[in-house]
Amino acid sequence: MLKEKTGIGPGLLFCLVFSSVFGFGVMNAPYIAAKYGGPNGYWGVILAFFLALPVMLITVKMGKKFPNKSIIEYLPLIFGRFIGKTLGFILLILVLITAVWGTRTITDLFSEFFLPRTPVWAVTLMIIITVGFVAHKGVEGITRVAAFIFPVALVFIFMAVTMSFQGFNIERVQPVFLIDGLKIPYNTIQMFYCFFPLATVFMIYPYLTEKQKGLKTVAGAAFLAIIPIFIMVFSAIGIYGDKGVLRYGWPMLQMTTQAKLPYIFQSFGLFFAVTWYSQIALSLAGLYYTSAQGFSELIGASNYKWLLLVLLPVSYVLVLLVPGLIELRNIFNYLRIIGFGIIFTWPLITWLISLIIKTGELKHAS
Amino acid sequence: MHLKKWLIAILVLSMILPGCWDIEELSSRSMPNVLFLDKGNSEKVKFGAVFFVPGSLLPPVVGTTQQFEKRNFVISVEGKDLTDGWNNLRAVTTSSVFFGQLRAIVISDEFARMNIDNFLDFVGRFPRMPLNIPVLVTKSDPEKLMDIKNKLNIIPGNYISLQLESPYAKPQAIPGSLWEVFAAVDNKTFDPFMPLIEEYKENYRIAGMAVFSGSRMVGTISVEETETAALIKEIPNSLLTVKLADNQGLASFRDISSSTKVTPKLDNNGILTLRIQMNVKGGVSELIPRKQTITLQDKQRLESEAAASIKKRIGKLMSNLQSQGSDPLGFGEKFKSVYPQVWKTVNWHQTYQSAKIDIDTRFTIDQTGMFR
Amino acid sequence: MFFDKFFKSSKKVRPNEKVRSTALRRKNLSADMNKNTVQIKRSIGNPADLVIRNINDEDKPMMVLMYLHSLVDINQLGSQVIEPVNGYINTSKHGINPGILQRLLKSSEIMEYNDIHSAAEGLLNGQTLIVLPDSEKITAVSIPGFVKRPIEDSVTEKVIRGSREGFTETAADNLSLIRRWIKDPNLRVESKIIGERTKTNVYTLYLNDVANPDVVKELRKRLEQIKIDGIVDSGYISELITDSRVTFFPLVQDTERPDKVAAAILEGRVAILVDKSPFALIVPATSNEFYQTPEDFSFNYWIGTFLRLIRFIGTATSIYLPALYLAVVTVNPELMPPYLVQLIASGRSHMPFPLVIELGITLLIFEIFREASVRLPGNINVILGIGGGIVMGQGAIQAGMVGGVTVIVVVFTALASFSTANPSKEQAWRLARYFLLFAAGAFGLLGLASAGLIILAHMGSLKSFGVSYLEPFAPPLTVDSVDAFGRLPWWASFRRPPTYRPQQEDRLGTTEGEDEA
Repeated sequence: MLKEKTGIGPGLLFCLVFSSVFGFGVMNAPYIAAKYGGPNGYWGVILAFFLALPVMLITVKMGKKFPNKSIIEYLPLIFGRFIGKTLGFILLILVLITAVWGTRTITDLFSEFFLPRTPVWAVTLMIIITVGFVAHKGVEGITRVAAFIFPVALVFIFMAVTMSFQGFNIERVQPVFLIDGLKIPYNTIQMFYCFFPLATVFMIYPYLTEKQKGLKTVAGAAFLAIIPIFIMVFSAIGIYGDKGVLRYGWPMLQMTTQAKLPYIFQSFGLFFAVTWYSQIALSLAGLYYTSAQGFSELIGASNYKWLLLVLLPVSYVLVLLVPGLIELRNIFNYLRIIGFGIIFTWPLITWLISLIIKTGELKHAS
Repeated sequence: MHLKKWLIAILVLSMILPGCWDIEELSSRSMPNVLFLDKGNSEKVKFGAVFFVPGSLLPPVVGTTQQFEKRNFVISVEGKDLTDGWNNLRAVTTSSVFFGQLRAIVISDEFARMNIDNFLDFVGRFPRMPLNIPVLVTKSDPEKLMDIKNKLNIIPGNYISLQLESPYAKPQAIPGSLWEVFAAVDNKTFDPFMPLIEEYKENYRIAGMAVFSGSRMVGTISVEETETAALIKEIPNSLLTVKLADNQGLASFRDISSSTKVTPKLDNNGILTLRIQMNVKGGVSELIPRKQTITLQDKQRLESEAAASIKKRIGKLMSNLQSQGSDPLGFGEKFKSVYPQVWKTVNWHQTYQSAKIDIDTRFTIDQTGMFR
Repeated sequence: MFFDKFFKSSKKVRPNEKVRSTALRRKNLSADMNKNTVQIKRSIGNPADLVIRNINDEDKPMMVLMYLHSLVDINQLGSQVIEPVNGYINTSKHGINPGILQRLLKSSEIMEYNDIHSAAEGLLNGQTLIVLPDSEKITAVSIPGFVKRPIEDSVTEKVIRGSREGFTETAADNLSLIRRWIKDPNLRVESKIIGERTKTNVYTLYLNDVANPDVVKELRKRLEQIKIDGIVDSGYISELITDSRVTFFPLVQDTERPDKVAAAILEGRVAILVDKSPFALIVPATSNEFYQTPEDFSFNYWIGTFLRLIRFIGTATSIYLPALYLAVVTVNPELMPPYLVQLIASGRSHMPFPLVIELGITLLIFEIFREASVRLPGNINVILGIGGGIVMGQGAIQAGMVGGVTVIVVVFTALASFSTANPSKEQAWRLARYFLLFAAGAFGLLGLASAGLIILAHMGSLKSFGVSYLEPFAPPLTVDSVDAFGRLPWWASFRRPPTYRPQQEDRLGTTEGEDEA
């Protein structure tokens, strides 16, 4: 019991995956869904989950084939050293850019909404240091914080979700089964961005102690996270209409600011924002940890903590490099497509090639 | 160990060093209670706000007269546009204007008849503007209206907010929150609507509803028509007075609730028929002349007459709205949900104005009060 | 340069480095009684309370008694040693040797020493040394007579319903209290002497078939590694065996209550009793343990659950309330209901100080009151509480120096902080509160959330003897975490909490269901 070893149980992984998927996905979900899906945009959320299931399944299968190896470690075994490391490097760059994008989005949101006079660099500094501190604790620390916050966050999230139905109009989400060209498939691909934090699972899967529960844990957590996202997209479109959602920079926040608990709080939205902040901070901590750990494995460094201290200032600079919100939104347009291409297709190709060339352990590792 | 020390030092410093740009004492924020807009005399826009007198909103203390002093005051400025007006307002107030605790927005009907898109754009971009506040229209001067000291000595924003929150006021003042106005203007599936407010014996009174077509106000409907609109929108707690046929007197009903089904139907020629089926129920509140007992025959007669009265009212309301080209009741949404592809090709306002209305109403008496 | 000094390791000797006492060396006894006596006397510096009593048979020296009169019960000495010896001398013509002495002495605890060092240690421990002529051994008799406090109610952990016994400064008495709770032959009591100069007795107690052997082993190892001048309180040991020295959160639980210690031992934890300290230590300790009291188990599970929830809510309120108040009033007032905002804004008009200063000063004043009240005599405490607290507070509000709401927040925070059942944890949260306050003051609700997250991350990384500090919440142990927030009824608590990885999870005995007669 007292021996120092890193291991996380299924419960911890569940909480981290939930926080990551929810925190990251809920940011722009109603906007993306309404923009690309119209009044049926909520379908994109459900179908994106089904699109993410193969990714989770492959992560688990690869975890069985290459026990105790993260994706950075088994890519060279499949593709050869040079190509494998290059692919690993590109994946890590995507993870880092995703984390930087997420950091900048939450910075802009809080800067605009809560702290209008505080300079962006100060808000970014605070967020990066908070997230960095959590990431510095390693996978055990991040998952424990996620597990501790999970029950409270879940209650607040579902409360916010339920209360934000005020003003809902069923006609705005009808007709439910409208097929309008390729809107739904394209919307699904766009909504897949919610599952970008699954990249964290690629890295931390080797630490899972009860691997036989791997798929149930990851899929269950992702499903639980998608439920409030789906409900929020559904209610956003039902309240504001698909064109109405597009007006808002952060429709989630606007929706929850409407939620009123009479005589208790003017707007519940701010408590939701704090809950959401905790989730997105955990999601970002997971992504920063992933990139630090990944880079340390890539270059053969022993300790991810030093690399994290190098990556954080780099991320800080990258976050501040984006001039403003409009550029950030433009970047997101490309990031969603590139991210889908990498997070969805690469594991699939990796698994297929590993089957063909028969690498990795064939039996279930003990 | 060194690493930990560095981390802790950075952590502590990061909490303190960046400073407190956003700290501002509550008492030194100017918190408008109501924002009002009007067409300016010399400039384009008149921008004003109601503030409460600092220190006046404390609970009353026996023996003092503070609770009887007027608690609100108004500042209004003019500007070329809304931002200019806001800027001029900031120049007049002693501290920063903070809209986070705004309770209502009042616009004059002159202002509303101009395009309200600019106003919506300006107001909506404020980060902490509450979105669930009511927007009201007044035919009188909003500055004078907001400057009165009402009998209850409640500051205007609180008064309006209390009034509109009451479930019994909702049928007369169908709440048109700011976010609903945004949704209407963006989706174009229905038109915005706003309660009409006026002064009445040094208090505020709801005087009907201002209706819009797109982002311009096109007219008003009376209180009775607003109540009918509330029935279509299934807002409960209405009252209804029916003049009985053959001069048989009056029957009044209370706690009226309705369930409405609107079915749009396009025929082959592209003519739209809107079928409105409404089931209303309510309790008897007054019968003139008084009846000892309401028999089954009485009930049936009262119900059929009430249903007919409601049908007539709906007809009158619809013809008024159609003539003004305003769809505040959301028929466009129903049409879009049934004919999503046709929606893209038609001009809804034109289709709506030429639509036929087919009304079917039923009334059920469910309660008779404390008497039979 | 200033930062260099701060961040470079100090080259000074650290507490764990060996500091050997130079006082005593091991030297064998001789057969010369006088020489032995003189050597022992010299080795402890001839203290003023040392009594050397010669017992002679006419002119023939029979024995020398050496004792410290501040540590020995003189009456018992007379009846257990001097009387029987004198009786023997009067009746027998033979000399006394250690074997005869053993039979003569009435005391139940008799030891023999072969060297000066051990004999001197025994003397300093309150034993009476009997030095015999022509003997290279010294017999020692334990007849403690030092002043000790009687068993009283615990001062820091009062309960409405439950045992009224608290630990005292005598480890032997404390041990007896525990033994009266646990009569299991599997209860192991290991003794250790820690402190070069104080030679403090430290007892380690655990159930051999329940406690995790890794924890026991690790504890032994850490106690072994302690090399310190003296142990004055169990707090010293607590700090020296703790897993992390950077944190202000207590990783070793301390308690004055024997029922708490007994319950902990039954759960599979290890208790440490330290002589001269009324606070026993318990390891491993998770954050959750600091919110549990024996009262939860004395009342039925509904009340127990309610009390625990109250404690959690009280603690959370005391930590977050000042920071939340500061954040919503100064940075994010849009959160509050409009009537509350208007009321607070009206009440705070023309205040001389910004809220962050006002709150800081008021909290500081309250902390000073609290510190002062610990040392005030009881009767003055009440008057000063009324005069200082109520009158001063009212005066400050009426003078317009502080707002009424600020005083309410501060007083409620201070009172709520005592709902944390453990003083060490309460002190830790006292510090955390200020961190949250500054963060909220700088960045409002975002700062508060960030600071909370940092504290949580810090707590999540802590371990106490291999057990995660946030267990059973993180890692989540479902049944245990339900039991943490509430109290499971006894008919449902047939297992020990798996948090401490006990060897046996099932408690012995069966419990009837609550519906059965």
